[in-house]
Amino acid sequence: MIFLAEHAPVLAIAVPLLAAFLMPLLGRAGAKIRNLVAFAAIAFAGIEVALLALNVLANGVVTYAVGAIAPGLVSPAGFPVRIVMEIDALSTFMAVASVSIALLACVYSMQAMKKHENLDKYFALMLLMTAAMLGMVFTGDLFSLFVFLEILSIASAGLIAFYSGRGESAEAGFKYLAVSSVAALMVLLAAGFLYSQYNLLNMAALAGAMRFSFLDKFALVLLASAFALKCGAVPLHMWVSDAYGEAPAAVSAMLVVASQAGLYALFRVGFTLYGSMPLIDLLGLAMIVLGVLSMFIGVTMAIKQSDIKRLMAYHAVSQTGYMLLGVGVGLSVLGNAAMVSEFGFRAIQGGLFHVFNHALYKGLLFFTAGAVFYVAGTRDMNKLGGLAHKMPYTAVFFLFGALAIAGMPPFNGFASKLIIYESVFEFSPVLSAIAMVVSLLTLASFVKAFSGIFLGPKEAVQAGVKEVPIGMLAPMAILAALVLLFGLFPDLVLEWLVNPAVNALLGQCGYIGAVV
Amino acid sequence: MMIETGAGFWSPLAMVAVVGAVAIAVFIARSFGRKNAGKDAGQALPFFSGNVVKDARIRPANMYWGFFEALHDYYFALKKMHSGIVNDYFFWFVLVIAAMAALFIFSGVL
Repeated sequence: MIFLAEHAPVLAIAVPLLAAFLMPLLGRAGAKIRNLVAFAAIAFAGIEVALLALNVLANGVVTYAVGAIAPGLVSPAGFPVRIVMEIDALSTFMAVASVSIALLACVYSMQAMKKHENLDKYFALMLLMTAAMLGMVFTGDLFSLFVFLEILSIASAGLIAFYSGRGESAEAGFKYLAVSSVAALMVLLAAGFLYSQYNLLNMAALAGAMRFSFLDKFALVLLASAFALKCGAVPLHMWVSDAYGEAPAAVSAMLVVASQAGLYALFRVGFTLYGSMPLIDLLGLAMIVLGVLSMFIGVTMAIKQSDIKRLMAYHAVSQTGYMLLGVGVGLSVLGNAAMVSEFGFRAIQGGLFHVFNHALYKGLLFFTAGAVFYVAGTRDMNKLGGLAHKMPYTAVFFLFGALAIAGMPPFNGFASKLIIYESVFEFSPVLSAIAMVVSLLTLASFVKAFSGIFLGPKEAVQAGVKEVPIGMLAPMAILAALVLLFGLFPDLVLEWLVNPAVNALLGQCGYIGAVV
Repeated sequence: MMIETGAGFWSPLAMVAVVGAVAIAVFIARSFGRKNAGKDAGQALPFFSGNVVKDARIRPANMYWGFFEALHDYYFALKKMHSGIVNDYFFWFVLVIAAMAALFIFSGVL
């Protein structure tokens, strides 16, 4: 147990990574063994993340030097050259969301993808995605961040194009790979700019040494733009509808948390790496602009869609806008302690809480969309209708997700949106009003989706349709329960996950001091 | 059980209790109504100017028609923006990099 706790940062990544490469081998031994190992590997990563989260809550920032004689040797002679993993409350917050969705997506896939071939590759890529997401949020090193970003992009692209018989899937995979490669190239370029000046790649050491030269600031522009693209902020969101729309449903749910890993990187760069830069509030303002554009353009595009998964994909863009708005408001007042205490803290709290909530209800919504496609064979809402007669459980789960995303009480989406509305109102009432209008449009969009898919008389073409198997219902039921639970008891997540993460974001010195 | 929002607080359980109480009141009021209402009385059947309607559903494609008509020009611009061509994706990416760099330059940061 002590070994598991001590080496948790590296084991959480290494075990799914190793299991990924074992998948083709295990596939020959049988689908059940392969599935079991895939599940066990992600569950093991989940246990390690839980141990890490408890450790971080109890002892503060955890560091781990990969390849050192002892994991604690992060800074020999005060010059950190090793690959150092640095895990604070923000990292564990993101890791909990990522690994939870990955685990449920794995269970859901076992049933939903049963009829398909090449599942060895499917589960291998899913495990790679899990390892890469955890790597991105655990690493304290800018170059490792780039490496994990690339692994995540390549694995995701493979899964987006999984239905290779469909031209649209291959096209979506190609587009995702193309934009991700360019974004990753910008991250590499920025890392190069910083390394050329400071001989450092460790983010904590860089943050301590940063002199905010012209190159440093240009590196910030490149990093912010690249991570804005990865998280799907408007106008860099074009890939989202293709990728989320064409990927298998479980993969779409994982892509949501994969995009949030990009959001994490944006927050880490803004608050930790450049947190002490004069006029860092400009990055906050840029995030607010991107957030408002994402909210409004995302929802207005969503309401027009007739493909259920594309509708959900545009809503993912819109919800990312809320997160950018909340955290952007916090960043824009970072230099003013009074404003941070007055509303900045709560704005970041709302933004981060929404990250967690979005992972849950959007995961649930994608699972329900997958269930509809599983039984009806189409994603076109104009060809669906009356499915609540045959799929009552899926209909209820969809309703839970729809009400949560629309910010209706008592679901979890309402709790985080309320904090965003009220804290952002202190900053600008107009922005708060836009956020509320977007929620109304979200509700209208999901009224259309719910009535189109589930309401109405029984359709003749759905004579053979029946509820999806328990293997698909169970992950949906778990997510639906969590969506309601965290709506009824939001203080559970706020106290144990969100508030420590906000403090970690605002406490730049703690992150730097753990290494240097 | 409760979250502080800065401007006030939110108690989900209190809201659930109020909704529950209202639901009970509605149920009690309903129980005083006519017992033969609704079922097999033709009240739930769709009608259109007194004619029988075969496909009474409003398909998703037909919903919010007025909203889309009112925002016709906005949607025309959005459709043009979402061309699906990868080259355009990179155009927007370069534009965002340029806009962010300009923001920092004109603010005297760079």
